[in-house]
Parts: sequence; structure tokens; C-alpha cells
Amino acid sequence: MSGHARDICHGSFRDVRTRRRSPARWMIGSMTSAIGLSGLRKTFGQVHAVDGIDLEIAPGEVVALLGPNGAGKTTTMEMMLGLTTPDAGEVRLFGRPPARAMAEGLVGAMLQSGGFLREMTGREIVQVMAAQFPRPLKVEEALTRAGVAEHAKLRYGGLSGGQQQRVRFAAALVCDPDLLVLDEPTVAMDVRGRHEFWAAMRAYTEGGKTVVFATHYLAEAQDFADRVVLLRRGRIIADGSVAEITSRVAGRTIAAVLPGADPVRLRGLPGVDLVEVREDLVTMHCLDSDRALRALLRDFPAARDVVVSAMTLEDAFVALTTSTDKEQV
Amino acid sequence: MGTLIGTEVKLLLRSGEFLVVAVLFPAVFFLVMSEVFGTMPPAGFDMSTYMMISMAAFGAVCGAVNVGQRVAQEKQAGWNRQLRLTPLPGWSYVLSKVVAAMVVVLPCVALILLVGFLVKGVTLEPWHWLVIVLATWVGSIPFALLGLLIGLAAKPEAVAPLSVMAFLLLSMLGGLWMPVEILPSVMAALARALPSYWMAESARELVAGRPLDLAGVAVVAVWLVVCGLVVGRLYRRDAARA
Repeated sequence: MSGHARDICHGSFRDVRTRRRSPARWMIGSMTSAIGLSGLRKTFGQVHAVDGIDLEIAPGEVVALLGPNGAGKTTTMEMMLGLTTPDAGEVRLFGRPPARAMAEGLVGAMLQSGGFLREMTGREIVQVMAAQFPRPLKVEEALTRAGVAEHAKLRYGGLSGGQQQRVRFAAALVCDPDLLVLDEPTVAMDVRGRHEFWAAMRAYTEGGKTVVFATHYLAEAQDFADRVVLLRRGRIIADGSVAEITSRVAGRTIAAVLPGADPVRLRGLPGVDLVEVREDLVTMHCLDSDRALRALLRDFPAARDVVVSAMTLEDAFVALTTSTDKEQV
Repeated sequence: MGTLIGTEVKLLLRSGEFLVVAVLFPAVFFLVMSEVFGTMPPAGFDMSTYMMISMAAFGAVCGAVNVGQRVAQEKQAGWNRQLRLTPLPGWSYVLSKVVAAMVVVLPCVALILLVGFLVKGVTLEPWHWLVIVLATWVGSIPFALLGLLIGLAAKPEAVAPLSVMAFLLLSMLGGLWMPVEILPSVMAALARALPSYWMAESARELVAGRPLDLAGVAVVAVWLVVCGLVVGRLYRRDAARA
């Protein structure tokens, strides 16, 4: 394929013809990006944690970083924040080096590796953070916005996982940032906690703030993000709106119950792209589901409970992050 | 930075167990050691006063080095990393820890002096007491930095044993348990290179009305600068690490 540079960098991706851009990204040329990553690389020993990432995020965008474990999400975020020094490449936040943007209070962050002392109360934590920044919010306001004001008198160690995360959110908010960087912000929360957290976040982003978050919950990306960036093995393999990403994984999913199925034979059926076998349940991602279905029913008459469905973000995620090198264009 | 130091002190006062152990341990140690060595010939001093000053220095070393254990806890909790997301400069982090250490040291020293006065019957001029407090208080700063160094450099689970080893060795080799005068000459020479020795010796010199030995001031200053530089390096190294 005669791809230009941008396509090569997304090269594991089957279909580059529909590279539509969201309106926000058209504006990048004329204004400073909230985040600009270029040629970012980081190696830990033999592992290429981040292997050449270029990414521009415009002010006001809400972007989800998705990817399996080890895809490089956390390392990318830590380099964004200046906590990890890249081996190569450059990070700019609002046109500044990360340390300066942080010092000016432009960036709030919730990290997996960051944490607070169990003996401190929520209010004390937010107070200490607020005291370090030039133009902080009032401590009460940050606590209220994060929805944790009523628990602020309690010690951090005694709070539930969800309450702790909201204290961390308040601590990230208190510098009144224009950009929030959140690494798996809802990881310790139950369903209700997640719901409340995203409600607080929505209220926050209505003011045109930029948010980048990493998550394992595809539903969160689907519900909340304007844009999804899919990482695998330290590279961006897809970048676009949820609709774009799912449409880019052409085809449909066929699921069927087929005892003793042979994945290799199934993979050989016409139109089948990818096969997953879980006990008796076979799931096939198909580029041409009509041909695949005919072939399946002809070659495997034992197949039953057959369901053909359109791709969800989750299917796209699985398809994009598990496709083998052979299948890459 | 004021907020950070205030919080640091507040947390310290809140951690009851830590404080009780850090403050009581040297006082108890003093009582035991002064019984063991209490019959040795006094070296220009009355033995109880000599031992009390040594033990006050020991208490200060002990209390100051312990600050490393709190750093280890903070590292485990991820608090250091959280602070790195702020513009907080490294030196004010270090300063907040040194202040915390000095807050612990003060009651350690005071309790030993109280025990010396009440139990051992030590009598001194009022300003002598003050001199001892000041000398041990200021002299504890290099040990606070050493504790910080251990806390930042070592794995969290290794910090406690390393701190204990550091303050026991420095106290022992610095002649805080046995007067340097009765140690072999090699040991005595080694003691003169340690800030623990000079902490007690400076206090004794001042109490005896002699001028401060500048060699002692120099030794303490070298330890302070070296530990300070290493701590600064470690803090920056941590900042650059994944």
C-alpha cells in the first residue's frame, strides 16, 4: 500500500480510506493544541512501552485512550505530565513544556501511581494541593464539584474506593486546570460511583475544558468521549469518533454455539476475519458476514443459536487489538 | 510551602504510636545505659551529666533518622508522586521533612533531660539546659537528612532496618554509649569524624564554658552538605523515573 507517513503510523489498521476528521481537529492548524505529542518513544529494557506516538488534541476535546494492558496508555500519560522522560519525541501542553504547564496550574491529573496518605482528611489533601498552585479554586468548591464535600472531614484511609477516587478528582481539580489527565479514573468504583463520577465530569467539561482519560470500560469511552484513540503495543492503531472506529472495522459479528469447533477451520471460511472460541460459543468477526454465514451453515451443520450483529465499540476494540500481523495492511 | 509544613506537623502529631515510640525509646535507653555505665570514672564531668548529654544526643539522632520511615510510607502511598504534579520545588519538600524531624527531636531531647533531672539528679545552670537542647536540636539536622536519604533511596520494606542500623551505629561509633575516652584510639579517631560525636561534644564544651571546637562545626557542616546534596539528587532521580 502506498500510504503516506500518517497512514504508516496507523499501519496496522485495515482500512484507511475513511479517515474523516472531527471538526475540532480541523482547527488545530489555527490554534494551539491542548496536547501535542510528536514521535514519542519510551523503552523499558526490552519493552517498547511507547513506540512512536503522534497525537494532537484540541482544546475542548474529550478523548478516551483505549487499549489492552501494556498498550502504553499509562506511560503515554506519564510522559504527557513530565513524570517520565521520553527516550525520543516531544510533548507540548498548550504550547509549553509539561513542567511549565503544570507549574502554571493548567493541568490536573489523576494517576494510578499517585496516592494520598491514609491519615489525611479529604479536605487536608485538597488544601495541600491547592497551596502549591498560583490560582487555585476554593477548597470547598473543588470538593463540591467532585461530589465529595460531605466526606471531606473523614480520613482518606477510611473512605470507600469511590469516595477516594472523588477526593483524588477534587485534588486534580483544585488547580482550576484547562486540561484534565485521568488514568483509569473509575477503576475502584461500583456502578453508582462511576455514574456519579461521570456526572461530575460532565459538569466540568461543559465549560470547554479538555479531558484525556484512559479506561478499561468501553462503555465509558462510548458514552463520554468525543474521540477515541486506540493504542496497541505502544502505537496508535485507530483514532476517531466512536462511530468512525466501529465503522472502520468493516463487517459484522457472527456468534454461534458449536461444540468442539476447530478455530483454524473456522478461520478458513470465506469472509471470516477473526475467530474467538470460548467453550462452545464461537464468535467470528466477518468482513463479509453473508458469505461467512452460508459457509458456516454448509460446513458446520451442528452450529446453532446463530446471531449476526453489527459491531459495537467493544467488537471493534477486540478486532483491532487482537488482529495478527498477517492481517495488517 | 507553609501549608505543607503545617500538614506535616499535624500528621506527625496524629500518628500517636510513631511519636510515642520515637520519643520514649531514647529515654528508656538512657535509663538502662546509665545504669550499665554509671560506675565508670567521670571524664572531667560528673558521670550522670556526661551520660545525660550523650543520651540527649542519642535521642536527637534517633528521632531525626526516623523521619525516613515516614518518607517510606509516603512513597508507598504515592504521595511523593502526587506532589510532583505540583510546582512544589524539591527543596521545600526536603525542608518540610527536616522541620518534621525537628518537631520529633525536641520532645525526645526534653524527655531525656527531664529524666536526667528527676531520676539522675543532674543539676545545671538554667542556660546550660538550654544550650544542650539547642546543640542537640541543631545537631540533629544532618541526621534528618540522613533519614530522608535512607527513606528515598531504599525499598520501603528496607527503610526501617536501615534506619535502626544507621542510628545505632552512629550513636555507638560516635561515643554516645561509651565515652570516647575509654575507646581504643582508632575508634576515638573515627568518632571525631561523626556528627553524632560532635553533637554531644559541642554541648559538653558549651556547658563546660569552653569555646566550640571548629573541627566539630566543620564535620557537622560536611555531613549536612553531603547528605543534603544526595537527598536533592535522589528527589530529582525519583522525579525522572517511571
